[in-house]
Amino acid sequence: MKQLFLLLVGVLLLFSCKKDPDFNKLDNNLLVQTGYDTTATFNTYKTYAISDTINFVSNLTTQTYWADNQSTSIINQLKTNMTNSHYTLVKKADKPDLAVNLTFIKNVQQSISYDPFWYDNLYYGSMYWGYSYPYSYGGFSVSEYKSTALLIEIIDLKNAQANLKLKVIWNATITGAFDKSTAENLTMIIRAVDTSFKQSHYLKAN
Amino acid sequence: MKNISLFKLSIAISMLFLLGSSSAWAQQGNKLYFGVGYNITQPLNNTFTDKTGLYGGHVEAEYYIDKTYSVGFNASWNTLLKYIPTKTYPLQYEAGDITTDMYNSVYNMTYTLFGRYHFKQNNRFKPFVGLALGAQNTEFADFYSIYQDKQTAWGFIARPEIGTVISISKNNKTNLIAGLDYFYGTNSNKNIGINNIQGVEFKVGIQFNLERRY
Repeated sequence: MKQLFLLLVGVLLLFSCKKDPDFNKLDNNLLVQTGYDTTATFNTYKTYAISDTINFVSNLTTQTYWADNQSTSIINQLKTNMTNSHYTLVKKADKPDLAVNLTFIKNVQQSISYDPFWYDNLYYGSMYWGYSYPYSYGGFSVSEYKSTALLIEIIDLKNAQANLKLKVIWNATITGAFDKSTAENLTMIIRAVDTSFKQSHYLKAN
Repeated sequence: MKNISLFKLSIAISMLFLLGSSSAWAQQGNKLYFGVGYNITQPLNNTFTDKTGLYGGHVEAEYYIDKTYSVGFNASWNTLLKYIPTKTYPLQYEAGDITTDMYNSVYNMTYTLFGRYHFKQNNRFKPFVGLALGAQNTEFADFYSIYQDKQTAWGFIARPEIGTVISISKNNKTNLIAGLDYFYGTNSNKNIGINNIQGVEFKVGIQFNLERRY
């Protein structure tokens, strides 16, 4: 009987020997990573344009864009931050200096790696920004992994013709569990958008 | 998983040793004890995880050579966790920053052989001093968002200890044991500036003599 008791104690100890951190606590904030082109002079750009929808990439649906109250809230928050950084919102027809692009990747069993700042092919006339912009994946390449992320890119349109390239001069990757309620997820995303600008003090028109 | 496997192996060896040798020690007094216990750890030399670790334990087998000296095998573990509130860090290899909260984690799994000197034998309390020497496997980890960075390192560990055995049964077949030790492990992780692992550990446990009487 005593041996049995000891064996039970031993088995219990086996399963209690390593303590994991409180993952729920870590789920309360999204991870925000930003990068920028060190050759870009951010105060030389004055205007920007932004789509009223968010690109949507998922292996769960064929839907290619996200347009509802939540996406509108996210876009509006981005506009607020751009305004606070002294950039002026204009229509795409007014030849903005910058394009702001958002992509949401959801439940894709792929990993996201970033090929920073350059798009090699430049064509005119057919797509949203007047260039053939790889909407679905932008500068991000994707391989097998499970991930959910909001990607924000700021693209240099002002110097596109001179560069013969579309150059991403700033990007933000917002990742995390995204496993809370819709309202809580939205709150976290909006807070993360603010954080992405807060940690990018160089991102100002003047 | 490797840690768990080694741990299971050590448990299995200890149990086989204890159960298999029970009859051999019959009628010779209480020489062989099996113990389990709880450890609290206070790291001493790093800021990576400088919070008191409440998640630790040990199993051990102790053989009394005579009434004064004992030797044994001890497997112990502790997890040290430290929560780092949300903070912005510059990226190491490219222009940019990252903001996140995180947990720093150090998980130590040690396997030691020990010797103890017991001072008094005619009292319920039997204080002892001891020294344990062996190997320690340490897992250094950062947990942030849904990610983790993890590295492991083996090292040598030395652990002097003081403590007392408290008899709580007839014939000393069941004892409580309490002790305090200092440990020094050579496990290092240069990425986070840790050259060794030091700390003090308070432990309390229970030990049983499994030898059968005929």
